[in-house]
Amino acid sequence: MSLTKIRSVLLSPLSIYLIRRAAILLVTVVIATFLTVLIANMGGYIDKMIYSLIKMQVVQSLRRDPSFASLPAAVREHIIEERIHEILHARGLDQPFYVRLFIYTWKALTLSLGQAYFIRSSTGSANILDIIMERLPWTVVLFVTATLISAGIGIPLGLYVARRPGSALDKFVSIFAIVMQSLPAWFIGIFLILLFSYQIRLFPPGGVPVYSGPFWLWCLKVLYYMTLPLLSWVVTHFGYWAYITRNLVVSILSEDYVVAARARGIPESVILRRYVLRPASPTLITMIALAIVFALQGAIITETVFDWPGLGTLYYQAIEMLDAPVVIELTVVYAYILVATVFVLDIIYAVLDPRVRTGVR
Amino acid sequence: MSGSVPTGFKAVLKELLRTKTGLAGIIMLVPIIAMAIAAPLVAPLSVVKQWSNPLYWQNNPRDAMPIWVSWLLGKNLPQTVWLHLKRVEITPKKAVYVGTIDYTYDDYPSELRLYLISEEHIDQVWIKVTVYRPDGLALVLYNSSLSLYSVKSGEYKGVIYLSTSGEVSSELARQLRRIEGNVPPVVVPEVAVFSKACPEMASEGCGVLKGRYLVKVEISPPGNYKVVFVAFGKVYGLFGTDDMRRDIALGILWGAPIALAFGVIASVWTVFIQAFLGSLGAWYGSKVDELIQRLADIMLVLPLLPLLILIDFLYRLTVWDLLLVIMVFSIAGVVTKTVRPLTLQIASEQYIEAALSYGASKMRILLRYILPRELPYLIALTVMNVPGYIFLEAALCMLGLGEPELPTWGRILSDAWYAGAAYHGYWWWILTPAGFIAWTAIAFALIGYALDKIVNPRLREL
Repeated sequence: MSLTKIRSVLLSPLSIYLIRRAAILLVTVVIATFLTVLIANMGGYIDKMIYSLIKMQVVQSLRRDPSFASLPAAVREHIIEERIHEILHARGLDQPFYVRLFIYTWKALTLSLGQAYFIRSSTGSANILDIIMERLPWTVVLFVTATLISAGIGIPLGLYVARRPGSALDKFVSIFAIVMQSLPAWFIGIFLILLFSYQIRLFPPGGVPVYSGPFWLWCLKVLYYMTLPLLSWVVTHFGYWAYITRNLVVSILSEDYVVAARARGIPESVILRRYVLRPASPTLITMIALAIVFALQGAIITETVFDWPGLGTLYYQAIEMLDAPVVIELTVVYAYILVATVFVLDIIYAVLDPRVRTGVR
Repeated sequence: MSGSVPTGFKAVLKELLRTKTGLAGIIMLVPIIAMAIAAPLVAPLSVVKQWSNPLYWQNNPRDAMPIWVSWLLGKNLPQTVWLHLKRVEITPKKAVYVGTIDYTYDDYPSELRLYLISEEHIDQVWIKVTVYRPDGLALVLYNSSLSLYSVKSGEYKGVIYLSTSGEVSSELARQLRRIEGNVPPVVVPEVAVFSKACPEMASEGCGVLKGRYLVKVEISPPGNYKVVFVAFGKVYGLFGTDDMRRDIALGILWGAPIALAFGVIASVWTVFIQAFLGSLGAWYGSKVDELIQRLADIMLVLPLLPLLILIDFLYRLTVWDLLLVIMVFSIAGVVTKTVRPLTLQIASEQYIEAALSYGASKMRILLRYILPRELPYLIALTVMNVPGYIFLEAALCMLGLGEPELPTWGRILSDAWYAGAAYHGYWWWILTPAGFIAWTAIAFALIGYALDKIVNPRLREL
């Protein structure tokens, strides 16, 4: 490829648009990370707590040392100060807060915050990425499955009722969707636990099974433990998918070109496939993609209610233990996933949208 | 598209009442609003401020079911009986107090207690409590000394927790040995006293012995005492009580104004500030627009719930502080983005051009011509967002980060959850707050749905 060709590709309206979007998204992530770091450290508040915690540990460990007690008071003070300083230095806590704010932000953005303060993975590792990677599969398994099932039930249902607008089923689906959408999954979860775990005693109230025996058997066990959280998520979400699909399809069906196609005598099934589903699918795909991305964050409350060991519970544990690095890193990982999805969608739209492709506005 | 989108507030309301869902939503909302208005009249704020003070609720039965369960089960479940004993005899050695209860309930009391209040400075008495049952059996519940402590100047008070006192159960075990044949391993005093005489009467009981019970209390030294014998019931109030003996109905009643205020304020602020900024940006254009839209992008990437949890955890927010934090974090967001194309569309209309041509200022056009046109859409959004905020408060409660002082629906629900109400079968304690939250959320959702149909003509046509 010649240099001029590269230049022309780089300077094409499409690439200029995409580079601009990428830059904006990057800046967004940086600022969002900075704010999270600031809030998660409570403007240095957590540092003070960690400092007093370290001091307490140092003093206690030295007290147990009999040779330490025989030293003069001034020397003891000096040793304590020195030890504390060593630990602070090792953890990078000896610099002023505003300096570390920027260091933190940079480390957070490069996913190299390293060690958690208190939380450990089941193998004992303090590495934040280890901890996150250990929890991620649980969240993915539960929420991606839940999202796919919800959309898998909701979208066909929406397509079905959209062809019969105003029918009793249509009205029922709409109202059901609206009612269920206003209730969060954890809320339905409470009722499911009350009914299926304590009254009927059919399903466990929460948690996941310990790994044992043949893999397939364990998978079945996981599925068994997953039933109630899955059910609570699907019940509260599939109506929403049906409602959105229905509204989208109904509005497309009233477009002039669909009316014209009908007038030409094109069969309904072809109209649905060619004239309705084709324009509707980018929107639906976007929605599914975004729903899965949001699902990756893990629903904190739903996971907590069901005691599900995913990212949501990790988030909450990190907050509860004031483990700021874990909180920050989770936020950043999530922001990256979100922004990456948005960017991929931008590319798809840009390629599909002639106005962006050609630069004519 | 038909051009008949109602614009005025009254027109929207009129349309709303014409739709079935809107009407249903409003009918559902009326009792909640009535509760919110009635709350301060029924119970003053000073009562509700005692919500977290366990001593305040001592006179209620613990874990009592709602009163209407009696009627539902067709069983006369016991209510709390307060028996004020009268002095019938005073000798130089002792004073004798008696009182009678006509016990006709179909179940045993949940707890027995005896209060003794002396108007003189006495801090130690010897006291004997005997119950004479309808079947002629006399049971001595307590025969020992009791310390009185000063509650306020000049009044000394003593309490015998008859149901949990070790003295009472060992005293009863001794007497019941004759009837049961051996020493019962467990004695439940409230059952033993009110059960028909049988070998299982010490703990399981075999049916309530109905009739007139006489309670006799002998106190030495003699004096002026106030003696109250309490048989706590198993039903209480409209919605029962929790494990801290709190009247759930009262908490629910006060939860209504809190939930409404919280949900509505948060929602109105979020939608309107975001709409204002979004429209402002779109209307003024260029740099302002860019700045506001980027702010919205950042806000959308910030994980709101985790940050709220974090702030709530560090500062133990009350609901009102929480409201403030939410307001700060929702200055820009989804609505900022969604009103942008709407504003651009309105801005391109001729009457805006006309207003510009006769010299109306840009701000005036925004406030007088553009925002009012967006109003119906914004109202629909606001109404639809209210349940989310009510559930947000409840969700924070479920994480143990609830309002520390006042009763909110979310807090009652989370209290129940963590006290194991699901496990113990205290269904009323979970279902009542959950029911009110769901009811209110659904009411708003239905109104929001109806409004959405009114302001989006495309949805209305079909």
